[in-house]
Amino acid sequence: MGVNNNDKELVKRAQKGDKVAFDALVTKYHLKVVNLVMRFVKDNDDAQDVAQEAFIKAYRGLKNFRGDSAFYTWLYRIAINSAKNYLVSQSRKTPAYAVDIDDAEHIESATALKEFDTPEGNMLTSEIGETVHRAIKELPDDLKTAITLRELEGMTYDEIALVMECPIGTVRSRIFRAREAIDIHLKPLLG
Amino acid sequence: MKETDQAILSRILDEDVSEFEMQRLLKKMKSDGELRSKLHRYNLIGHALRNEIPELINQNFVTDVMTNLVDEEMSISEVNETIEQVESVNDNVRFKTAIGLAIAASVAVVSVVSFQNYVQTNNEMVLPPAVVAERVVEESDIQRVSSEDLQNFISNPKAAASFNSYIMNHAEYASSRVSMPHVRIVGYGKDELNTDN
Repeated sequence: MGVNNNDKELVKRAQKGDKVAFDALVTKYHLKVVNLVMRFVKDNDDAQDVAQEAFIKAYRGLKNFRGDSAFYTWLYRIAINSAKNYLVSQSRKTPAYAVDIDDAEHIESATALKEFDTPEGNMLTSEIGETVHRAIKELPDDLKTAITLRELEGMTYDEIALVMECPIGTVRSRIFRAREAIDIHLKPLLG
Repeated sequence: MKETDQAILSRILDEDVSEFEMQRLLKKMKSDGELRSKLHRYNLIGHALRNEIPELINQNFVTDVMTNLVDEEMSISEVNETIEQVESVNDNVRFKTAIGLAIAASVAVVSVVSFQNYVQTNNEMVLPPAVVAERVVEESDIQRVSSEDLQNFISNPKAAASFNSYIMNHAEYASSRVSMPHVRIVGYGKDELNTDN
């Protein structure tokens, strides 16, 4: 298994009409796409719509995706184009709120949009964030280390196995158990 | 939901699943909504740890996208179905038109061929073959008229007029291609008949 190999498999299946495969891709990347779009689009609802539109465009264009680049890279470009199109249409209506198109693509963090946060949105975000951080603190050290190296450092299983000096199967198990332990706290919050 | 499925689900996010495992899991996810929800929550955990959670989380995001895709495909399939029906009707119309044209063409060919038979070739008039009546005239069908009967018939002015009219009409409209099996244009002269009365 290598980086993006699973994505390639999911894309291949989705290209053959496997909706569940595309469902998995959407699940995997929808938060990234929404975060990306929100660098351009201030309104939460509009950002969700633009992000959804990006995935729909991606599905329509799947048959033309040759795999020269990683799926997410290709999806990233579609999402940016969708957001830009939105900005073009909105700039004619509310230029005061629109982020400059040329600048938006270079914004590396979402800090520029903080002034537009709504209290309700913050509450939900903070609740989820607090729940997850609280749950990870309660994890045993081996599970905490494994999940931290994976999610925050972006290491592969092989690299984590080297760092933690344990078999790769153990790494898989620790990461899975860490996620499962956090999910017990997260599931009731999301309903 | 078996623990094995959950473990595979966790590894999907880390690009650590084999093709076989992927296939098996996707098959189960098709009918297991909880499995799909768990994948979403596992994904959310990573984003929360990285402080990358969007302002507002739409829990129905994936469902909304997939629903839109289904609606779009249904619309496309409805359009395709309508196009197929129209094409089917057009095909029928075209088929009937083609048949009609074929028949017309055949008639035209026959007409042309028939007309060509009138064309002078080798400076000789080539007459078309006579159209012969199917019924064979039996000897018994022929009613021979005796001279006396003919004389009596012709002497009747009304009968003669009617007979003459009949002859003239048939002579006028008869085609040179067609023989008149039961009619023979006869002329009669005074010297052939006894016109004493």
